[in-house]
Amino acid sequence: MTGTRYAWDFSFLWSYRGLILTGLGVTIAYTIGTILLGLVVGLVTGLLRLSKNVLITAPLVAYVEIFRCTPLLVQIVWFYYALPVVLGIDIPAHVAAMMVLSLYTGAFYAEIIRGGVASIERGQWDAARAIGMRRAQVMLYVILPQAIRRMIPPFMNQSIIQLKNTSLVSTIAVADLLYQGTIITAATYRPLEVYTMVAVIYFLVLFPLTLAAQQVERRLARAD
Amino acid sequence: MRARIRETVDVPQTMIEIADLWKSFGALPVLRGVSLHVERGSVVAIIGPSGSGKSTLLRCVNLLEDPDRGHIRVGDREMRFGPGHRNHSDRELSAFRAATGMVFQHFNLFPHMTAIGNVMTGPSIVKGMPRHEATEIARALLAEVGLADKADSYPSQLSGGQRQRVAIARALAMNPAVILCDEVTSALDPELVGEVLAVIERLADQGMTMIIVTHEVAFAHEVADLVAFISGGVIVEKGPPGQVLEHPENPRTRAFLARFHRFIRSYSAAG
Repeated sequence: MTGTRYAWDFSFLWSYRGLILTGLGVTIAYTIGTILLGLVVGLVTGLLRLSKNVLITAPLVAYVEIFRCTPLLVQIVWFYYALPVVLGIDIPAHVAAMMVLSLYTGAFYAEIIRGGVASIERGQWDAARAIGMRRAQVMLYVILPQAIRRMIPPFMNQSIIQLKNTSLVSTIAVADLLYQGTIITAATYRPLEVYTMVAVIYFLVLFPLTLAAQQVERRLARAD
Repeated sequence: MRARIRETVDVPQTMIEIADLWKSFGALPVLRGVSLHVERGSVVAIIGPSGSGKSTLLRCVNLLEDPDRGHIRVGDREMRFGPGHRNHSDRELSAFRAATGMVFQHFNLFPHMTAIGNVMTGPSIVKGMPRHEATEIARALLAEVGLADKADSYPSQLSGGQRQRVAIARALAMNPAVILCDEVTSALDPELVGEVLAVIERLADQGMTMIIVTHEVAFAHEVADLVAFISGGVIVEKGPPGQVLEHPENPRTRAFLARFHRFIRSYSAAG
């Protein structure tokens, strides 16, 4: 190695612990909030996507594909800067961030839910209808209980990714963990330590979650 | 012919009436004007080559398929299909199906429910019966098909024959006017066929009205009051089993039964 040896020093970060924790709190709040909202969006979209009526499915396909096929960063910027111009109203950063993240992950959830329901054999529908169940009852008592088991692994994966996705809201000045990182960097001129710490925190939150997800997946596989 | 305990009814009553039933899948015609009457307490066996429309006919009778044209009556419920007739609502279709039991080739048990859960789900969810009542009915029916000790087993823990008997109990739990059996032994290992046929035969003896689609020609002979041979989407020949199975008149029926007859002849020669 040539050049100056960089003297790593993480000690100053301790004085910013309040800011870091607040940022982590915002990151987690956005993750949980957008997972829940996204789940509602995904559930409605995914189930309506099963309809045979093209007038219902076509706009939903358009929504899902637009959000799946454009970068999340572009969506966030567009919702924050362009949408207010289109609608002629002011959208605060935290609302735009919440909306985009929910719609984005909702598009993926919709596909997971639609795929899960579609993967249940036709014979299950036949048998449930044959004993006189109405469409909603078939869905509620026969199809969804089976489909949900198949949806859980991809749902957990998407939700873990979602925690990382929230870091993009820092670009529109929502004060999440990464945003606080940039604030601390600006104050201390020590980006290497700051971003290393940010990475470590994300890892410490997500790694146990991925282990737990694997555990659940293994248990589901055993029960089949 | 077996002796059979029949319900005493004043007037002989047609339980199932199918008239001029048509059904196509896309451009492929599957049923081309099928008419069939099934008397109360009688068993009709439908035989025919694969692809002849047997299963589609059954699926139309309990409206799992939507017929293009025709008229179906089961008990006192009646449905008409075709131009000039309105579409039926989810509620009407469900009520009709609830009174028409069906047993499937691949059992189609609900894998996330135990045997007793499978049987009681109809009464409790569709009929809104209190849980303990539905449980009681389900227990009695499982006992009737010889599976009292398997009530808490999941379908994956049961043999094919046991699964099919649970499926029969599930259909019976709705107290249907008729039972439709769609090749109920075709997916079973040979040694498990007998236990399922025994249950079906007992139902027939108890006076259950049934339509049975089957490849088991010997069983059709044994249990049916009427055999209908279907080919190319039409019933080409029907009559008492002795007549249709032993002395078929239609060349297509003869061709279909030829193998069975060779088997019978060699069997009698050996015996």
